[in-house]
Amino acid sequence: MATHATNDAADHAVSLLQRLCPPSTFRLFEDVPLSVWKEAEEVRFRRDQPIQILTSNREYFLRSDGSLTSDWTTAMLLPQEQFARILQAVTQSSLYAVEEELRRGFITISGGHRVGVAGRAILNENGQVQTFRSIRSLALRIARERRGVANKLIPSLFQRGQAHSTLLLSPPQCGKTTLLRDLVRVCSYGARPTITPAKVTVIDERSELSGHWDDEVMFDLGPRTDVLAACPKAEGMMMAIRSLSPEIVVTDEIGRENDVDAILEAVNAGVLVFASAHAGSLEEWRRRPSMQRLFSNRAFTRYVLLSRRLGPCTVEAVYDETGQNVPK
Amino acid sequence: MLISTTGLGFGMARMYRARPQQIAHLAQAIRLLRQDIEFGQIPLISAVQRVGDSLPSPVSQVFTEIVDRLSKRCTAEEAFHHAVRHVGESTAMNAADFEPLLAIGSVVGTSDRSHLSMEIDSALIRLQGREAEAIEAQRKNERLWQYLGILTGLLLILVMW
Repeated sequence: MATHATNDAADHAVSLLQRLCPPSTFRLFEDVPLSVWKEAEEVRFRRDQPIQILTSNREYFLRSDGSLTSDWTTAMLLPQEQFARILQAVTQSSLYAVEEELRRGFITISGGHRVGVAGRAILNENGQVQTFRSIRSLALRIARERRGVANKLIPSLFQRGQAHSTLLLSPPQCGKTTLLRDLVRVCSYGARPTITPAKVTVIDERSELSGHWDDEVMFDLGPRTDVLAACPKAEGMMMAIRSLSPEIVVTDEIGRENDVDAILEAVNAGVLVFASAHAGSLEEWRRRPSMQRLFSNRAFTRYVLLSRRLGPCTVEAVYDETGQNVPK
Repeated sequence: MLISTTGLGFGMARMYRARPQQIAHLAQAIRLLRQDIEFGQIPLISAVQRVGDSLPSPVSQVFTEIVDRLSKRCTAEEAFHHAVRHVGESTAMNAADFEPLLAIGSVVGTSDRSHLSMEIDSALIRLQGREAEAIEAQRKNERLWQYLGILTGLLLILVMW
């Protein structure tokens, strides 16, 4: 493990797993090479199934001697007892306290890491998911701070020091949240004359942008940033406009009708919006009726399309409010 | 001799007197825990810590021990069992009195709120029964042990005279 200490990204992943796994499971991770930890994006734990490590372009399974294989049939199966311990570490032995989060299918843990859960859904009388029982899968997404990742976008997203309202579009796992986080930092710190510092409010429904957890904010979001953590997006945006007078509001993964209403409300109040949404292209995003409303109202004046062609946060295109290409 | 047998008798009587009180404290602890679980949704370690802080010893020590084990990455079930095993003997309560607490411990880490609520209700009902039984045992035995202690001492003195 000594070599691991020399690398922040690898160290980060290893210490996270040490925190979550019982010693007997963690021992298996000790021989995983530094290069894998540097690139690791997800670790998946499934009851009675192999442990899977996913990097940006490969998948590995763990053998019982700690070596990696791409053949899952030779991998070690995660025993129920060890899975239960990992689940209790994730929930701090308090499944009851994360029910609100479970309703959305994931739990945010210290450090802003997101743990997706799968099991048997329990529905309430309205047919909505109330919680999960018999949880059998945990998908740990390792959150990483990548300072400077937004720098390449500054010429296209800022004009005379002022930011454009910007929507980041991509399929899952292309780095939307990472880029959004860095944009928040860029605007909050500012860099005159290119970027005028601005008051930013982050509506962090999943506590992933800020890594807000148990009274701590894990990521540096700059000196002019306020965070409404675990707050529903639409409600949070309205609250922020009323009480925090932001120049920019930021939120992740918009999609619902009331998100659209809140964004239009913010834009009409003269507040800039940075947001992200799942879509493979601008056209694909516009095809959703509620999103078309945002487009036709020109709520966003820049659209950034991301992919993972050259790794997470690869910028494929930047569009203006009419959908025309903006030189990168 | 009289002093030692009297002390022994009074010691036993004290245990009978303390048991219903300690069971009442345990029930109070579970009610406090329920408040933090159902309304506060406070993580277990903080909830148990708060319960421990607001109760008198020796029941508080059980909760302090649970916090200690949880912070050492034991599961909730292990932490509750360890605490009862290690601190239970220093209380006036018997193993059966701790069973409702252990039942909560075995599900608290892995259950949702509604399931946990039912478990807590059931634990409180069981503790009520234990408390009634302990009060009855106190009524029957407290005085008996006090007299028995004195009389045994006197008897031994007379025999030896």
